[in-house]
Amino acid sequence: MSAFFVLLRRELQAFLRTPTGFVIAAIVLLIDGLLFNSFALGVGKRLSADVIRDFFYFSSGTTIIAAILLSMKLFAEERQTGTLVLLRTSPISEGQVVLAKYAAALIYLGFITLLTLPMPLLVMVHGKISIGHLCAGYLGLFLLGSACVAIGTFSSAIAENQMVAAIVSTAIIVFLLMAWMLARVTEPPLSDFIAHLALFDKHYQPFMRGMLHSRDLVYYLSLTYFFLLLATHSSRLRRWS
Amino acid sequence: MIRVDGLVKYYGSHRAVSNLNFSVEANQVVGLLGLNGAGKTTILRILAGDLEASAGSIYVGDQAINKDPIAHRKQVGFLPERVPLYPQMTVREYLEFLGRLRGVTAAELGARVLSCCERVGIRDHLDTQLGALSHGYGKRLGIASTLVHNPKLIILDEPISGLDPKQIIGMRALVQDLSRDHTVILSSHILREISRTCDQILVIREGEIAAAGTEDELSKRFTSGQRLRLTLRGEESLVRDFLSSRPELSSFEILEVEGETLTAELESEDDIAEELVVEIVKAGFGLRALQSPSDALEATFMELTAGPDENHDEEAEL
Repeated sequence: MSAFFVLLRRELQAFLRTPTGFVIAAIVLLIDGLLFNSFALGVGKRLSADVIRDFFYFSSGTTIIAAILLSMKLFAEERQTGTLVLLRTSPISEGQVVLAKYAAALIYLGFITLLTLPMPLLVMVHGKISIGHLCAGYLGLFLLGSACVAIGTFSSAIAENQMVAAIVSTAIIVFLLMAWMLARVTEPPLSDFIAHLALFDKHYQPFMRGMLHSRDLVYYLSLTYFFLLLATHSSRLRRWS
Repeated sequence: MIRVDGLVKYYGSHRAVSNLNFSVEANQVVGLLGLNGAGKTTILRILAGDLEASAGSIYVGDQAINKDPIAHRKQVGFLPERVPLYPQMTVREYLEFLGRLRGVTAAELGARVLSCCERVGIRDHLDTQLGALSHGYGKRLGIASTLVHNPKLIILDEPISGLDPKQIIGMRALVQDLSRDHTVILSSHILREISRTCDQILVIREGEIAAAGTEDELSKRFTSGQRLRLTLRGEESLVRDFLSSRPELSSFEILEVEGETLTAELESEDDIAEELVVEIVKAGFGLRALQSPSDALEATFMELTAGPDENHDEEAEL
């Protein structure tokens, strides 16, 4: 087994062996369930497609919060407890360490997200929604989660403790969420560039409606790659400081 | 086996290690001795591949470690002062995880874990959770973790700190045992913790080597003459007269007077213990004890390892 998979397995076990992972999953499912009943289903008759759109709308919020909470510990916790030195003195590259930790958090987040599946399936039983809409919505959630976990991985790699990591990743994500507002008060071509940075407005809404655009895929994958690259370089730089 | 050429390390503008040069032969035990903040941990972390040097080179064999850091880390087992443990894991899981991470094959992993635990004496604790291990067993597990991938070089940062006297004796024996198959570099800020363990001691002061050699060599080089602690029964004025009349004593100091029993510290150029005993008995004093003060060499090393500022501070306090 390569060092990457060894570390990936340990990271996944860390989520499953501590209460934190279960508490985060429980909170996400509770909030999703409450919002699904009160907000998405609402009162009176609604179109199934609208219910699903609203489900993916509020699930994006819980996914972002879960991504921040899951990723803040990746490096910062090990730095606090002193175990990071085990990885830094083992024959594994910074890139592999970053990738293994990111992948573990994303897999666990994906697992939590999959647990929300009964909610849209319930709509499918009683209403009419397309599998394509469902798949596009979950793909959007997964890509959004991937980008947020990558941002969290980077924040954890540069922060001294978990609290600072959470604050840094929240700040970056809030900036990206609010980018569309900034785009309104700037002049082109800068406004176009900033508008395209918007984490939710420009790129997530099509997924909510069951639409799949390659530009949105490229955006989330690029964001993920960019922050994982930053995390790798900042880990490498720490050997010099 | 290891050659360090002109090693320099800066933290920002602070120079932690200055132009360090030394070499270590295979299967030697080398101790870095110095006060806290002298640069020992920085040197060890660079040797372990945890930190990058600002300048200089380290060669293991003919290979510079920065040419292929991953290959270098395969050859090194590093134990920091604070043993890094995952509290949710058991001893077996911890060692298996580190073994796999460091490239031990599945076929040999089980046997390696067992032999490491056997060697450090924690075989009975294989299924103990790490959170429940005592400090002493934690240190032993730390040593086992450095052995699991059978590296050529073992680096131990303050392996004896926090251990009780019995554990210190056990740890010394363990370190000696390790040198049969591995090269060992360790650090300490207290000489007696590593004395009789190291083949070579490097005294580190402000990131530089202040002195190097075996314990005996350093002792001969830096302690002039002999210091003795004398405890005898007799009247103080008579004892003072007796000691003042001894030409072979370069100095003496009465440390303690308790009734008729006195303790004095003596200094001489030569070994005068035997003739002094004869003279004391002849003079009619009751000899209770004559010994070398155990802290004499330690005190010399303390002076050697303390920087000029620290000496100055101590003088100011006095």
